[in-house]
Amino acid sequence: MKAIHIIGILILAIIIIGGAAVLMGSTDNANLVQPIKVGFIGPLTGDAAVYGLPAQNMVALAVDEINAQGGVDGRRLEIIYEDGKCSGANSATAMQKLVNVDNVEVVLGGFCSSESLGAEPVATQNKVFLFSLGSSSPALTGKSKFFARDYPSDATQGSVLAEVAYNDKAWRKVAFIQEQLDYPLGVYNAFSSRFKELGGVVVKEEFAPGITDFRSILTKLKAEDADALFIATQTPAAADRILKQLTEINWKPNILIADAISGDPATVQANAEILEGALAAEFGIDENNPKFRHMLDAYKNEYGSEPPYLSYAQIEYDGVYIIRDAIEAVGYDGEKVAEYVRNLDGWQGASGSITIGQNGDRIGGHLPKVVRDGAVVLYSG
Amino acid sequence: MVLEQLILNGIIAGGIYALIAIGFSMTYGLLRFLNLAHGSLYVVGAYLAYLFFSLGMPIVAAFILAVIGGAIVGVAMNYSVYKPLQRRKSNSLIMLLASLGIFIFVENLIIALFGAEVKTIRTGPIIQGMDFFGAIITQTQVIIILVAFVTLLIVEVFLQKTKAGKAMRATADNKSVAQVIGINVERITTYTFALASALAASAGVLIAIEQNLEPTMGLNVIIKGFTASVVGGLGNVRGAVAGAFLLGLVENIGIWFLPSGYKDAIAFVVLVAFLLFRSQGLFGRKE
Repeated sequence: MKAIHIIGILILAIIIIGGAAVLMGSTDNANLVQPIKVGFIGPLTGDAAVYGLPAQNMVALAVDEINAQGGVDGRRLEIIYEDGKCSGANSATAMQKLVNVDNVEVVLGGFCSSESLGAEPVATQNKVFLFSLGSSSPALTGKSKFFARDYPSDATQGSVLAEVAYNDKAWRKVAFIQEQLDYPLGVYNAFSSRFKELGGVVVKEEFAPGITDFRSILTKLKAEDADALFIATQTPAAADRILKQLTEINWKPNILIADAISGDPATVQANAEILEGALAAEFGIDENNPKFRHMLDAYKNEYGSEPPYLSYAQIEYDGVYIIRDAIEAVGYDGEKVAEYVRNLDGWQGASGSITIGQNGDRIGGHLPKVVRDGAVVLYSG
Repeated sequence: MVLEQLILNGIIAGGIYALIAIGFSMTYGLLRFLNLAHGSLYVVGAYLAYLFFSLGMPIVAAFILAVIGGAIVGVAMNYSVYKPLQRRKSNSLIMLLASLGIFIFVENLIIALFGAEVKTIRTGPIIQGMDFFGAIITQTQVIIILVAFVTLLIVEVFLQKTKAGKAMRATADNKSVAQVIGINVERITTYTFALASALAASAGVLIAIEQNLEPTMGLNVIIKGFTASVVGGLGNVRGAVAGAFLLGLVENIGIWFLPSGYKDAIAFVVLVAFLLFRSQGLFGRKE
């Protein structure tokens, strides 16, 4: 009995002394070995996980590349991934955790506009830089000096589509079905303000996220006898349900789709028949850009397939490198990194030349596209 | 034409809500707590059907196996969690929390097994609906309505006419008295869980075929099933059916008059109205 006690005490002593030694030994070169921790907020579950999971992969790929090249200023880059669930409330909680528990200075995200809008106030209060890799709601423009994005605002997406619809197609009345989230709302606001300015009429019906039965909403919109139907959902999954139910209720309108839908080849292909001739406006990719090619190859090597949603993939990949350059230039400080990114001018990445304005938005815009035989091609009148 | 369509849509939605609400009501009658995990069985049913279907089984076989699987999971849930808790005389709040725990556990288990993304069961090409008294209905929807009605009929006959069904109602009515007159309460509880879970699973499979499936699909349906069973009078099976169809119709016809963004809000207004003015529900008795 006594022997066991003595052995126990000895083991305890070894653990305490050993632990203390490790801790004391590590203090003098702590900065050298400690990684730079950067946060990430994106939709890792739910319908929008189709974006969040590839985004996580893409960010991890860029981080691996950077660490293989020696990290940032000799320190490893480490990402702490949090699930924003495409919701403002969840993202605000995730942001609180990243700021208070992990003490990060920079967060990549959110992906959904709702996530960025939810996380931004927490970022601003704590002087942490929130760098979105995909949020496009016009409501985020000039929101805070601690927020920026390397993706353009939907203001151009909406106005490009309104002009094609009114001028080229001579549509005067458009029915609009919109999911009650910030990204689809941004598309609606941008489209309807330009379309009404031109002299058109827009009738809108909204639906709550999570609704899967659209028949009654579509029945109501069908009765409006509009020239076209604009579908603005947060995710392709919701649009897929709407398109399926459109066929089922025998309604074949002219269709306009938000870029979240046109950017999903599987959904466009599966619904090729009803989408034939549908209009979209997208922020495109340049397959001849060597950095873009490199990104595609690296992703294929790592994950065995091409990344989905290429226009987002390039943004996510570039975002990590922009943050690396920023930290190397000004140090790991939220305020300074924010300042650096807002003055980015002609930075070359997989998504081409990136210039970010003082309002935090990437300068550059969307081009009109059209669906032909299940593929999205440039619209040429 | 529009009104006919909205009424039909309401009936389809009501059929699904009814399959959920009956089970919700039955387990409430027996255990006197809100079994949130009832929504998990709906998800389990949907994913089992998806699994069997993607293994190459015909959809009818996948449907039947998923329903049986759902019943087994439901019974297992009772044996592994609820029964031990009841033995410790846990109150209904603890049971509610436990069921919430199961609900979250199942959701995460499904994410781990199948991934978080949306899955689809496509039994064939998307085809145009048929004309039905001025409204349009698809084949799948006809099947949903038929399955819902036939199931409801069978459950009704079972509960009213068979010995086991009568025992179930007696146990739900008053457990101690049922025990005194020689009903094996434990076995009846198992039967009830099996039946309630099978119904929820069948609703899950129907929705999976008609729309598509994702791990988080259970939450919305619990809310609707709960609302329907409160409207009908908790613990009352016929009431749950009536409540479900009332809810489906009010929701779908309501958005003709209101912006469709309020579809879910309409359901809650109905719920609050019943809680305020007729808390015993449509067919319930005042306690």
